[in-house]
Amino acid sequence: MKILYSIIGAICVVTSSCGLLTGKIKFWQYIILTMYVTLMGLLGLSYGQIIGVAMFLGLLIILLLMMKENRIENLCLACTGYMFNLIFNNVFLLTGSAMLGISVDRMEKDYYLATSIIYCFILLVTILEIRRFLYQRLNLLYYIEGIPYTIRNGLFINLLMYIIIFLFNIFWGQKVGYSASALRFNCILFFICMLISNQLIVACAKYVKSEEIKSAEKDKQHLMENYIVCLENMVEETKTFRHDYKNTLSTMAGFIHENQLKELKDFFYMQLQRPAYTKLDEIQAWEYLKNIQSMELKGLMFEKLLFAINKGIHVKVEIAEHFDVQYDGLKDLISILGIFIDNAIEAAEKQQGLIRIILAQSSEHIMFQIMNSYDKKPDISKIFEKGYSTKGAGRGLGLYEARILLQKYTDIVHECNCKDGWFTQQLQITKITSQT
Amino acid sequence: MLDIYICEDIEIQLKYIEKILKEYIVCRKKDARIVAARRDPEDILSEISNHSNPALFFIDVQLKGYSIDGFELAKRLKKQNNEHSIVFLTSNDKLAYKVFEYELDALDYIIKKPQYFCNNAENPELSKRLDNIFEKLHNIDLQKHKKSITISNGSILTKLFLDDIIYIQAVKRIHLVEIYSYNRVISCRQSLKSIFELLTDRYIYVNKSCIVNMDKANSLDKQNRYLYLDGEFQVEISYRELKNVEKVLNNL
Repeated sequence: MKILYSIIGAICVVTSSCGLLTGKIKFWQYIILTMYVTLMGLLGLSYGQIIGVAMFLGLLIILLLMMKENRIENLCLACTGYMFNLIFNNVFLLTGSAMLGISVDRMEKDYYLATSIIYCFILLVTILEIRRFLYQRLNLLYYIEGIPYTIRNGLFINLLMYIIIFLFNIFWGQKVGYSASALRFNCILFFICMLISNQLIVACAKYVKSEEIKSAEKDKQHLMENYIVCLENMVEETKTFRHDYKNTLSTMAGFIHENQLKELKDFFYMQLQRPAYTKLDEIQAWEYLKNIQSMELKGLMFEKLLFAINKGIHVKVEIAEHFDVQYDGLKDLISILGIFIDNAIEAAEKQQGLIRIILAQSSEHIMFQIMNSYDKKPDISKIFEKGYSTKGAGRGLGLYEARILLQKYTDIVHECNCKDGWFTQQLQITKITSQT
Repeated sequence: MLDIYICEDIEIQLKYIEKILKEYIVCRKKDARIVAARRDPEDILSEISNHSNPALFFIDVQLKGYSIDGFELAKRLKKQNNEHSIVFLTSNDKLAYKVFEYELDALDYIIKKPQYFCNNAENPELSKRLDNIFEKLHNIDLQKHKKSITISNGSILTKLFLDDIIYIQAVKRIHLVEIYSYNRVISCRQSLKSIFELLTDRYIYVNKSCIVNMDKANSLDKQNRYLYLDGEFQVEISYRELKNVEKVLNNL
């Protein structure tokens, strides 16, 4: 008889916790789960409710092994299902006793078999209905795909904690001698608390996310403002340049008109000797930015170039036309490039040096090169060690971080070298070819 | 004999470059000849089509009024024979040369400065550039005979000369090795074992995550088990390999 009760109980537990999962569970898996829960239930008869905690954790682990995708989400659903089972059980008993006029205790003692079979059947139908409602009407699967990492994990931990505390509560409650109705009341209280805290987690996570988006937008706007100022300055610069150039031509026209060939020659050579237009590189740097398609990368480049130019560092930039980076780890890639550029700026700053930044692409690959001139050759065997820096103690964390980030990506080829007075950091990535 | 082709759309500049190159070849006694100097890129293409030897091309970037520009011409030439060497000519010092070097694997570039066209005499700046170009060609020729290995990171292939490699270090816990040469370190997603199989017997394991080119080994610190290498590198030797390392080092 005990075995039969355990089996019925196990069926209830398994259907409730597996009924809401995203994927379908195979029949033999159901059998294994039911056998496991039955066994634990039998153990529970001799060791008390504490086995329930172990049983549930074990059940989750087995489910985790059976699931192939959406693992955490499925565990959340299993927790919810199990919790639902506990609550529904109590509600069922209470309504049953109210409708039939039999006390709950009697239902549990005298009519146990009938009660459990009816309950089991009703639970099965309810779970199936809920499942249909969630997946067909609400299209839950679609929402699940879009749940952010933090919310997902937060919800799971919250659910798990509640269930464990809940089971402990029943166990200790029974030991201390709480009446069944007190326990039932507790059970409902717990359920309400759980719902509220879940709601809070979701709300908090959403709020944080929206704040993040807001601040990112602010940054972007700030960047745009700076960019526009820069462009305006550039237009002014080119205007002066053109004016200067026209002036030179006019003077020469004068000489030609007067047929003063000797003077014309002298003037021409003098003009050739004049130093090249100093701001040309700067203008060119801004000009090249337009080739970058990705806004994040453009922002980074703009920020760093502005920083370097304001420090009086001579910057040379070359960017391939339509330079676009389609890359999954774009955020990390940008952090790495940021570190490289910062390092180049620091190195160049000290010795009035030069920086070259090259963004090139071939038909299959993308290449980033960040170069700086040096006066003291960096020790290539140590540059990535924690704390190494040519700038003295207390510096040099940046490159170490970059290395840690780089190690996450198997498809970035990193190379650094010192040659002909240039220290170069180079990254190569295979282009993602759009699949059609 | 190296064949040289020139493509430049402005007649006077074409003539000038041809002249400079001729003078340079005679002056420096280079084993080279100018096969064609043309304004139209199509002429170059038709002239080269039945010619398979790797040649040297001087190509103007902006070819105004012609069907294709210098980059397109370079692309087509490279497609015909990847060993063709291309030098771009440009009056635009804003040219993103490095970008094209990567894209088209160009050999070098020459910025046409107005000064060059003022005097007929060979310009020291220009001839230095040409020296550079010929040296690069010479190096490419030399490298053809040097032993090398090709490591692959997905579709990115990198050629490394065996003589340049000092040591190869596997990074703990992740699938990554770092190959060190004098002035260069490159990351690679191959296993240490698979690289070891490409190497000659001059390379030995000094511990289970490090292979050293013993030709680059200088001295051994037996007490602390360190091996000192060229380029101020040092690597740790495991107990197991100490004897072997010592033996190889003493046999040098």
